[in-house]
Amino acid sequence: MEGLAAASDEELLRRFAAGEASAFELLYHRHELRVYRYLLRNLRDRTRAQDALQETWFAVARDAARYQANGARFTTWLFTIAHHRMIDALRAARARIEEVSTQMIESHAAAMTHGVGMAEPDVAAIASEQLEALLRALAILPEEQRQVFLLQQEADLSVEDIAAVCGCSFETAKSRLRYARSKLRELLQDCL
Amino acid sequence: MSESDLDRLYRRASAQDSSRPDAAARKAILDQARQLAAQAQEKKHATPARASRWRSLLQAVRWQIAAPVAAALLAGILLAPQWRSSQLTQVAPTSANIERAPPLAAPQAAPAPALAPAAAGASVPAPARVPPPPAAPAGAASEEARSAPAQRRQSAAESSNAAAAINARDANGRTALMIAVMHAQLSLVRALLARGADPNIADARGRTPLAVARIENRRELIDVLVAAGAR
Repeated sequence: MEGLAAASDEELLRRFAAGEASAFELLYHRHELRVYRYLLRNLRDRTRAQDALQETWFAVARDAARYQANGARFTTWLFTIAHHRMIDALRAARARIEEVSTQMIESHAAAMTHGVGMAEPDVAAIASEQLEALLRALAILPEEQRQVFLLQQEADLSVEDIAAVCGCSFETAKSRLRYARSKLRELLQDCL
Repeated sequence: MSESDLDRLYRRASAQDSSRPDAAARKAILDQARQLAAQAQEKKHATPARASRWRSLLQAVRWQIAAPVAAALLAGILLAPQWRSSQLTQVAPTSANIERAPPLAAPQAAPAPALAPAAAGASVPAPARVPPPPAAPAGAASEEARSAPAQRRQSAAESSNAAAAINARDANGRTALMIAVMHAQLSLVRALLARGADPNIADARGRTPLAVARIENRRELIDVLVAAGAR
């Protein structure tokens, strides 16, 4: 496992495809949270996010042998799978998603900050407030703008990669990202 | 708020996000991965085993084919001198062997040229492979009659050499007859015995052709060898 720690994502996937289970575990732990947050913040439903997470990683494990490092980064490939699973889940639950209430966002934010060790109650309160505001602002964003923003933040993808994941042109991805960031800055003005 | 402020705010807020997937979800993902990894390992190990099985089968088949061919070649090499000597005796037949020679059915039964007074009148056509000898000059018959004992001596010497050659052994002390028995080449065994192969020569391990035939339970080979005097 120690030898694997320095290996790239692509190398870990190759080794997993050759039968090394520990390579997959390391890969999973590297990306688990980022993928989960991307799914949760888009779907805003813990159960659906977990289902989509499982499906994403099942697909990664199943198709590991077919993954070709043809210039595409592992992260781009991983988030492309996650994005497609998220879109499927969104379509399946569109009616419910549209009824997301402010109360749900608040409870979500409270659940997210629950258990995080903080020395000062005030600091915890501020962090909770910021997270709540962020989630609220993300929920207000149009779906496609939210997706490109989260891909940039969670997957650390370039605009080009975001366009590849979302299946849109570079210009469209760039435009969506610009609108998303502009709207979020406006909504979160008071949080700083 | 600047662009970098937004990124910083996002990171700070996300750092406070303690939401994690359930342990059950994580376990299901990792269990599935372990299972797939084990399958990949099995496949990796199964492929060379299957390949080596094919290789060994091919090797076995190759020896099954190569050994009889080698035996036939060896027999051919051993029998060649004897065949040559028989051809030589046919080129210059004596009156005695002309009488003993079976009538060959040559379609173009041209009368053979007179060879010798003793052969005159004998309507034995020359074998097809043997070119007709030139007409013998006068007095040749008496010369040939004089050289007949010498030819017989030469023929006997060649036969003796051929007998020695037919019983030649390989590095394992096996004769051509033994190899033919080992590969159950009944017709080859018969041919070798007919050419004077000794059926009682044992190999380096002390096994005779008859012993090998008995071990292999080759009834026909046993009969042929016993009939040829094998013990």
